[in-house]
Amino acid sequence: MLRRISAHLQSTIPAPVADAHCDGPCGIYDPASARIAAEAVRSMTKKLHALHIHDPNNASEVLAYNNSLSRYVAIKEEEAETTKRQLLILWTDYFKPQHLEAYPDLHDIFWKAAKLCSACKVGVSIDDANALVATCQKIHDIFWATKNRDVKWELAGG
Amino acid sequence: MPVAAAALARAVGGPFWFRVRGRSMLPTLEGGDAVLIWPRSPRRIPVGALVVADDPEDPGRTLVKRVRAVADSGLVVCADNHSEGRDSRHFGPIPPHRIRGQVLLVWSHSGTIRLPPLQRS
Repeated sequence: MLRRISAHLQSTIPAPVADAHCDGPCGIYDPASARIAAEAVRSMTKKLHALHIHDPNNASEVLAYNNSLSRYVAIKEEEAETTKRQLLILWTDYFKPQHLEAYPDLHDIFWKAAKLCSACKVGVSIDDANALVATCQKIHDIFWATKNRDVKWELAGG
Repeated sequence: MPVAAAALARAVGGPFWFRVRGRSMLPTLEGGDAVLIWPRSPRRIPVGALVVADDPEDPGRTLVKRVRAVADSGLVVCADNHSEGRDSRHFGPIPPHRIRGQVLLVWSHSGTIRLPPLQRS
């Protein structure tokens, strides 16, 4: 229980990225990067829906509301952009023509995933956020299948 | 990062939390882990410690690596996943002014909090 709370808190702390990945030809790719960012998008979208002002005449409550609203929107925006970037890295750098032969709808999946990232930035639809995470799972399945590895899909946020 | 949080972090010499991305620090750090840094002088950072530093090849990026040696011109750093990643084997020592600090604590994406292990060899 405590660990789950801790994992949830961990996933919500705002922190810049420290790369343990290289843009050189390291050949190391993992759809987990996109999955983590997509989960953050969904988490922020849910938090935005749960945000309420009980007393609009209470200045401190309005200030706290505006502060939380700004933070959630900013994080959602940033994480959606990160999701898109991580997906594009997989799409353009990892997947090769032979993968496309095995998965003819690969381009369509990535194109729709990128569109979903944009939709999640523009709007606050929980359906879109769920669809983004589901698409990341689809890409996870394809990615590990191309490596002949059975890697379990697991969500950090449960 | 929200603008206010970023401004506050900068005002006090931060940011201090970083989120790890990628696999070059496996098995020590996984993508999604968060690390807390102590912005101490590079001269005081011991060999074997983890550091967060600005990428000498790309000022817009921040890296997390392990200190392998201290040179006159900075810290020699390596990835724990030796066969992968770009590090001092490619770009040489990281100058002291690019070192953000020593990793003090690792908050894993699964929720556990631990001290980063020192590895001297």
